Amino acid sequence: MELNTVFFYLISLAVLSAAIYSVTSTKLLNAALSLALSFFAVGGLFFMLGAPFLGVLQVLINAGAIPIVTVFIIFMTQSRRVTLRSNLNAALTVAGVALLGASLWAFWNTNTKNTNTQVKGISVTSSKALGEALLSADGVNGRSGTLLAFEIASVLLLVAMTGAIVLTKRDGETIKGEVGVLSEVDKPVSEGQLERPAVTIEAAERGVA
Amino acid sequence: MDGILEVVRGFANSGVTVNHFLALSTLMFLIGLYGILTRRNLIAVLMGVEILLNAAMLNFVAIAAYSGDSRLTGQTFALFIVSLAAAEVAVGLAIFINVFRSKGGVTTEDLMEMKN
Repeated sequence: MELNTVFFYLISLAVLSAAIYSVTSTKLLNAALSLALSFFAVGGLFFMLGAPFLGVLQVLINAGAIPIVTVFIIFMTQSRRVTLRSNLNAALTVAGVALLGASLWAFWNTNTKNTNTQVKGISVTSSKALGEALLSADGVNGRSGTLLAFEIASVLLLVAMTGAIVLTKRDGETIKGEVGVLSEVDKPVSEGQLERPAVTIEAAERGVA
Repeated sequence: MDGILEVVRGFANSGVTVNHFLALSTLMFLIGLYGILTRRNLIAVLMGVEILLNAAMLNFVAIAAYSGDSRLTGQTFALFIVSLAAAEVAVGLAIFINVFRSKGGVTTEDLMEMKN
């Protein structure tokens, strides 16, 4: 008995329900954490597809590092009492997506009987082969690959890191700056974020004086 | 009873095709698009963008796996999508901190002064 199908449906149920909760939840922190759960489940799908290196990378970066940074930014910028707007019922969304998915599956299922999209087994990619494909080019390492794109991606990451530091640094301030202004701003408000008092001018003046 | 068991067994033995993965990533893409279009908070919009990137990545890996990608192009580009998502999140969140400092909030309404 082949368990691939059962696992696929369980994992995709986790992916879709966590993603739906993440886009419909009224609490931003819950949304970020359920997004992490959804990406974790996508990592499981990568293991099913014979890409274990990508699965590990997905769990480390997309389900680990990015939600941590997002949660930090939520703590820094959001008041604790803020509730987001959710102008659609979550249960209605789940029902709609289930209906859409069932119809998509029914549409494709008539075409998938004994066609060549039905693959018996997927071979597992070794991380060594992936690294060799990533770090070789036409004149380098003897085979064609994506060395140039790899270098461009590394420069992109360097630029993003430097840009994030430069963007968050204020004028005439060292990196080890004052931290009191943000907590001054982040008073809990009663009604939602739009009713937050406009604090920037006062806070800026207080910061200057 | 045996008929139900037979149906369940046939379902479990039916196998997963590339179309299953394509349908799943289509649904993920639609969910992310819904999040982008309906959310007011900029951080929540960024989460929708991340769902879109993951749907694209799943498409790359699934099609590469089912088409016998001997040169590993699909997985290589999925790696590039990971690095792109990391860079996008870093720069986006830095921009949100700046918006928060100058506007006092990170919603789309806070960025509407060009409209008036």
